Amino acid sequence: MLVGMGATMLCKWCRRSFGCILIIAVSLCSSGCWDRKELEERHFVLAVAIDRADQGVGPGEGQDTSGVESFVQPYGSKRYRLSFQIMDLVPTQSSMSSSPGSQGPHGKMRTYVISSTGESLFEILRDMLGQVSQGLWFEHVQTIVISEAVVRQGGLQPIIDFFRRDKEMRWLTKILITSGQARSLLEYQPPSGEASGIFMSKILQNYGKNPHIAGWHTDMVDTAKAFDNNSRVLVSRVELLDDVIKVGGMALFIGGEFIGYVDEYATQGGKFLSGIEKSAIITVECPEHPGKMIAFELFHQDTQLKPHVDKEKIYYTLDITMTGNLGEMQCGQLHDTMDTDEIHKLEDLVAVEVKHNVLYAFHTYQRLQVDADNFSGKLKAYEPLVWEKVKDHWDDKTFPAISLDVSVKVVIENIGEHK
Amino acid sequence: MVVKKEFLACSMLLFLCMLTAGCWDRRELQERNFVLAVAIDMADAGCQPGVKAGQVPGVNRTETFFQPHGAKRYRLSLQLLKLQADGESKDNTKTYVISNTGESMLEMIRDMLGQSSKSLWFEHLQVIIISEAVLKQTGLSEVLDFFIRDSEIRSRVKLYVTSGQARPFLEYTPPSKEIGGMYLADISRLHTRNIHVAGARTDLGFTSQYLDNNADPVLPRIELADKIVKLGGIAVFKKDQFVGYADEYAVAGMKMIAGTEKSAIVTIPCPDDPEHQVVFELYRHDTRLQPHVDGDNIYFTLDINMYGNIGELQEDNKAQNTMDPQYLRKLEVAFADEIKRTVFYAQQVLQKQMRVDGVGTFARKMRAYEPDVWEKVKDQWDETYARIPLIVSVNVYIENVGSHQ
Repeated sequence: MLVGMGATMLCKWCRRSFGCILIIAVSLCSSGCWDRKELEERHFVLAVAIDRADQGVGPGEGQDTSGVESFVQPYGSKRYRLSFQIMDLVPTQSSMSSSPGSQGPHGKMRTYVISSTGESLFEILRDMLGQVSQGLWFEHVQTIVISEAVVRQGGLQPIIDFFRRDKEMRWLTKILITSGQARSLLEYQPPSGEASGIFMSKILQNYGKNPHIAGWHTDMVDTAKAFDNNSRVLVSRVELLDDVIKVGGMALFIGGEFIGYVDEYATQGGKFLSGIEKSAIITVECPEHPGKMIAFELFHQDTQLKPHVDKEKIYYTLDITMTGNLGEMQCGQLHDTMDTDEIHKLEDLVAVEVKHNVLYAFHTYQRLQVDADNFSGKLKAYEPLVWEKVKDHWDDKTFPAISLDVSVKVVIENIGEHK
Repeated sequence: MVVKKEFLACSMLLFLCMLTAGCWDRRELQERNFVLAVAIDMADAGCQPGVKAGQVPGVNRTETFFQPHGAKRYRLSLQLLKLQADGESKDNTKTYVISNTGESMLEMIRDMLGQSSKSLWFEHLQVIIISEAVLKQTGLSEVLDFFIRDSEIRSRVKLYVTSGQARPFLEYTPPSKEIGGMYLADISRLHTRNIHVAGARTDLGFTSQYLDNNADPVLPRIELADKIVKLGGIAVFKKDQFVGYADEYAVAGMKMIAGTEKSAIVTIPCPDDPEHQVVFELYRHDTRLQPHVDGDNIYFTLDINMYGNIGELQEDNKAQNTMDPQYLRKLEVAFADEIKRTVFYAQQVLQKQMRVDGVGTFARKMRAYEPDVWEKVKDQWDETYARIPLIVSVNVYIENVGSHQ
């Protein structure tokens, strides 16, 4: 009897303590803190710049060329200089005092730049951990800036591969190209107090309003896709001069080869061709009053690019209907904008200008032999049989020879707040 | 059935919540770049269409773009608000300036999005400063068209003209550390107390009205020298063409003719002791400008009644008794003479020399009082106006002598 009671009590005690231990164990697991890493213990990389290293160093040669920003490298040469813009999350005493380049801790973002040289980007990156106190985090990389010298030297493929392959990199990271030094863009301090990596990527988001910014098909996912399809890669161009940063125009690549830059006008024309512009300002000079500009502000467009095959000949038709507003008329006092005939005249003028712009872009791309606006995709979709025949020589033979028939209709719906 | 209805009602409520919350298109303040001030200058060097950006001497290639039409004629600068608080920043500025070159304002503004991480908002634009060099080349309506046409820009934006460069005004930090654009606009709001500033009827809305009605706008003049900003005097326009500047004295006269002054300080030498000055402070006035037609002759009468105070009397106040009505009468007459002189000076400068009917004051009266005659003369108003005589009568009433005799 006694023994029996003892056994039940023990069992009860046993079960209780087991339950308690279980609860403790579960709470240990579920609190999720066992592998925590505080924000300030991470080094967020905001932007990456890839330059050509100043001097090539052969394999096995020492660190004499660039001092500490290098390492002994068994293979390859000192070909690239990789720079990171890192967000400084810990306000320190030195940053409180206002030395140039550093920012106060209130609101403004403080960043600094580290760099190293080598050939494999992954190797350079891991070697750079010898320069920082915390691990580098790439999940928030906003921008990758490439200098023109690098792509002229080795193309896009070797420098872009790592960013495509590593799982920490995001697909929507923006890629930019500059004709000067890429690192200086990371060191640049925008007047608004943002970090330049974020600043630049946000500029690209203005592409809807500013047709001079390529902005479309220029981030990592599009670049990777275009690479795999062996088609063109478009990279927005950024320039820094005397404390002024500016994005406009773009660089064209085919198969990783740098082809050249196109200006803002061709960029805008290219957007008209693809029908991806959200808004645009189209300026014409008033025929009656030379020197006075008229600006049409595009609100809405309907663009159709269609391939046609006439026996051996391939030609495209482009139908653009644009509706918008009269945005500026510098000779507005001298015209009666309430008169529909005047407005029709303006519509015709703008239509001619759009046509001119589209053809300017089209001929630029034909001359560079770059199908920047995906004419091939249209052919593949509408005329798959013809595409099979021409696809091997599309860029160098077929595309430069096709003709484009442009028809533009412009409707001015409104004349602004004031006649 | 009941359950079904309840379910329907609930889901409708939820659906309405989504719509009425109004957050679907929200845009936080810090995601906007507020433009506070605009400066329009000449671009340093003219450039022909088709010239690649960067090949233009004097134009920074990051501050321009490839332009199919027009020349690199203007430099447009925008003052933007830094919304991020920076207590410890080294220069303590709350704004920064970006600029671009081109010809169409709208095209330049859109291209400037390549320099700015956020889109530009013009709803809080305070002031537009135009440099004289621009106005010597082109008309006012040409540079202002975009600002008048665009729906984002308010009519009460202040317009100033400067004889030098306009951009430095945007870079100027007021000693009070106010936001530059607000500071510049607020100066002209003191026009009611400062008779030297032509602040009434000179903003964007009024100017666009004058341009439309073929009247002659005037704009306040602003100058910057050695970190001091000063508003005073006006730039005078014939239709939309810049004619020249008129000084503060002419502005005072012009305001008295139009009756737009709220307060004024009239200074004269003391009648008995010209070494010292006596000052009249205007409290209220009754001004009547009226056209009269006598056969083919048109003439205007201006009746001014001014009531005010003795604001300052530098004369030895033992020598004169300000409690003596005789002395006050003497002063009233002297002040009236001075006001007459001011009015005639303004008339001389604006009507005779520049032949400008500033802000259309006379034309407006003519149209209101004598519509039939106006119909006849309105086409040659410019020539008619220059010959119209003005008959002025001024009465000054000194109601008080201040808190001390």
